[in-house]
Amino acid sequence: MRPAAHGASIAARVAPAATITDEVVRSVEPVLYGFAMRAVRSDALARDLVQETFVAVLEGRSSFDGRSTLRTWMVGILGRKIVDHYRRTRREVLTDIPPEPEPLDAFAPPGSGTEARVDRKAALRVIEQSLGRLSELERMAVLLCDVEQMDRAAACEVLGVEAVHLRVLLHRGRHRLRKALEDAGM
Amino acid sequence: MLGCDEVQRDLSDYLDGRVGFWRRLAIRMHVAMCDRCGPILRSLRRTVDLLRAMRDEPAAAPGPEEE
Repeated sequence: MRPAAHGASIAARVAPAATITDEVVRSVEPVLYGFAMRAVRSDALARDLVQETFVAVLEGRSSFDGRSTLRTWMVGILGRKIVDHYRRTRREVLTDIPPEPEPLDAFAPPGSGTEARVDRKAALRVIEQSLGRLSELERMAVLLCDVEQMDRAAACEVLGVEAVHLRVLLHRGRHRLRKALEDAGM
Repeated sequence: MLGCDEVQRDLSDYLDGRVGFWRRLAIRMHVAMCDRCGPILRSLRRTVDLLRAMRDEPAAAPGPEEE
């Protein structure tokens, strides 16, 4: 079943380890599912990875030190599981050179008088689609640093890359998404 | 004066405030005068703003070709 509500507000709380109950952990599920979906582009796999993350969180909740939000901490755990998954399934380093981007699906151009909100929604849709055309590492870098706004050092740790490499990944990922918006006339 | 290639290579770091003072100044001057780099910086900034806005948006289902 698809998570019914987005738990961002609950997930953003800073919770000391003692207060991380099963219920609190579950409240972050929509956030984790959304992150996993954007990263792996598969509903079934996203759900598996989120479940694995829950197990790890519930077993290791005593290690949560409260320095980050609970959401950030759990996204970090999920991020490591996603990277591990890529490594297991590819049996090689994560793809860092993406294939040539394919043309985007046609999006209805904003008509005269179209609300800015609608344009924004369409732009978000282009970005959601275009995330799937980034390399795995570029996508994870953008998701961790821009979407989740994770601290760079923490993102480096999740991805297992140096800071310089992360900057390159962000540069390439952002520019590819920017180009996708441009190609879609946005 | 920085060239467009140099500036465009640094725009992502520039947006994050991760370039030094003089480099930042040089980029700002270049972007203010360059017809190519100015629009690129604006669209890159918008892209990052949209990505940040996605934090509180539910993920869309992937396209049929992805599942």
